[in-house]
Amino acid sequence: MLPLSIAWRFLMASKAQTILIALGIAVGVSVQIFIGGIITGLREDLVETTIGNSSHITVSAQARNELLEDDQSLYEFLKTFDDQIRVVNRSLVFSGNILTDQSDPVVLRGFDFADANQMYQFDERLMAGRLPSANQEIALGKDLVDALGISINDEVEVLFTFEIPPKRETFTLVGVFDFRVSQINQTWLITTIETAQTVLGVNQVSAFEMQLKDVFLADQIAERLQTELGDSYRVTEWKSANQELLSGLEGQNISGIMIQVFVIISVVLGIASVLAITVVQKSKQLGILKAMGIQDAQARRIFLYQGALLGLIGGVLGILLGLGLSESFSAFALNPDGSPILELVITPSFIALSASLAIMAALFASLVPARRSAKLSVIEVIRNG
Amino acid sequence: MASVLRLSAIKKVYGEKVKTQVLHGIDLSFEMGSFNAIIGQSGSGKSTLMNIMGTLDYPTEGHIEVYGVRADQMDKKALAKLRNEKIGFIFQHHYLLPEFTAFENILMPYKIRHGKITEEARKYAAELIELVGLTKVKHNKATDMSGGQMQRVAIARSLINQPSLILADEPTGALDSDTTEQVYDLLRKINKTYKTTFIIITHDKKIAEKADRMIEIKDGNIVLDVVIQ
Ligand SMILES: Nc1ncnc2c1ncn2[C@@H]1O[C@H](COP(=O)(O)OP(=O)(O)O)[C@@H](O)[C@H]1O
Ligand SMILES: [Mg+2]
Repeated sequence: MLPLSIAWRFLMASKAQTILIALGIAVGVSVQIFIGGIITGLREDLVETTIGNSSHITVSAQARNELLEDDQSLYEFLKTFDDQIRVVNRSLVFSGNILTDQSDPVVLRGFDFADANQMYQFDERLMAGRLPSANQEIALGKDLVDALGISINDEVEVLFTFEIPPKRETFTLVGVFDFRVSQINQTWLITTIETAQTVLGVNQVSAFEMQLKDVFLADQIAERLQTELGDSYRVTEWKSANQELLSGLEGQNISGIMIQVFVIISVVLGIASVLAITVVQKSKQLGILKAMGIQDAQARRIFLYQGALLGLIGGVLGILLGLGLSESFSAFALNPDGSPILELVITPSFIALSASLAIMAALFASLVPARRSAKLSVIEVIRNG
Repeated sequence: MASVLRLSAIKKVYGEKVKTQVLHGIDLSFEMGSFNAIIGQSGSGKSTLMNIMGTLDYPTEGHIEVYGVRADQMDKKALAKLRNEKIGFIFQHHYLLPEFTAFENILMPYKIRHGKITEEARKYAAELIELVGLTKVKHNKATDMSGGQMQRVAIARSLINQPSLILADEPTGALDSDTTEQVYDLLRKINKTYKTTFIIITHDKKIAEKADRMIEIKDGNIVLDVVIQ
């Protein structure tokens, strides 16, 4: 306790110096938190935009263009295969043409919306109307609706070429969606899986699509699934199709770690140099204390405590500063529509990590000064007054 | 009478390459409750001797016994404890901790010894501060006091752990003659009241003559050792 109270008194006796060094640490910690928030935010944002509304693992037939039996037991099996599997979604997809003046190619996609909504968020993408529920109801993308010049409850005629002569079907438009991707908005026709199956005249599906809680586990789970299901099934996952994104994320991660490391190094150097000066400044006091009987180990602890206290004060200030910085970034860095450019992701565990790094860095920086203060000889100080 | 401190054949040599012998075999023994003065010219080796007596420095040769225990064979840890509990120091340059108040400075050796400060210790510190006549400025920082005041704080501090031996190296060296007189009267009073053994270095013969015993050092040898009636 004595070393701690002396350490505190030493810090308070030179307030300006203490505040300066604590601010130095605080800036380091806040930069760490802010940069960490940006990097994690970017990563999650990228992943979300890339695969947030698509299948992470897809089970389809081994041969291309073949369908799978719409097998309830396989569906149940997939649902319980791994805790990570968040949703299993049956889909039946095949192409056709919408009859306009130039006959646009489209893709009919049949879903069970109870499941599909959890993957594609159709309900949130809906601009007008509702999702299809009864037979022969469909929803179209907004670009396609604009091009056709139709509105809700109008009929839409589609030509399917899976048989000859082509099959002509009439649907009722019940909803308009906007996926903010023109490819989807121009070509997707959404309907219930039952309607799709009736049109195609089968009781089959194209694929079982799955989303995971942790998207990065897709390859592992897919591999296990492939072994389990055997060769008649094809199991694909998002990672193998997105190597570039993954290496981009990896690069981002490494540069993030580099930034953190350099911030820590500069914090350590800053504290170490100031504490080294402090030992010289306080050598007279240390000599007096030693003459009065303080142990070398206690003298050492005075400086370790100074380091720890500086780390603590700087860490707390840094967290506040870092959160403030992130808040103002979210408040001022906005898209034209008023939404933040980037959602920063700052978890409590990251804050705790950053703060404990600061304290550890401060402790580490105080090791050398602490050793010097333990070694300082009384007689040198007493003699040289 | 029992001896508080005994030095036998103490030699001190400074320097590694160029060796300077400062003490040439000092034999001395101090009795409990006595008031001793060591005089000698500047550079004669008084401070060197004092630092060895106070276990702040090691002798090059010779034995030193504090309360019958060989101090020259103790490790640093044991010496720190010995200094803290048994010896009070008063230095020429008072050596207060500027970060602490007068009162806190006085209590510091107690805190080093016990880790905390009791109500009793606080009372005793207040008593000591009264004794040295500083009650009014006891909450001043060490830097906000005059030289004489600081030296009196240092005296009170040397007494807080009730040591039976107090070593003082020119305690009034930086003070004017009136204040010097007052400080010596104070030390004498403490000696009478608490039966504390004093060993005081001074170059002031007038002061030394008021002690029970006067020892003179010249070039690292004792040239005079008299009991004053
Ligand atoms: N660390 C040291 N190294 C070399 N010589 C020293 C050292 N300390 C003191 N001396 C020398 O020892 C002699 C005695 O010094 P000191 O004990 O301080 O004398 P005094 O206190 O009587 O004035 C002086 O000549 C001084 O220069
Ligand atoms: Mg001297």
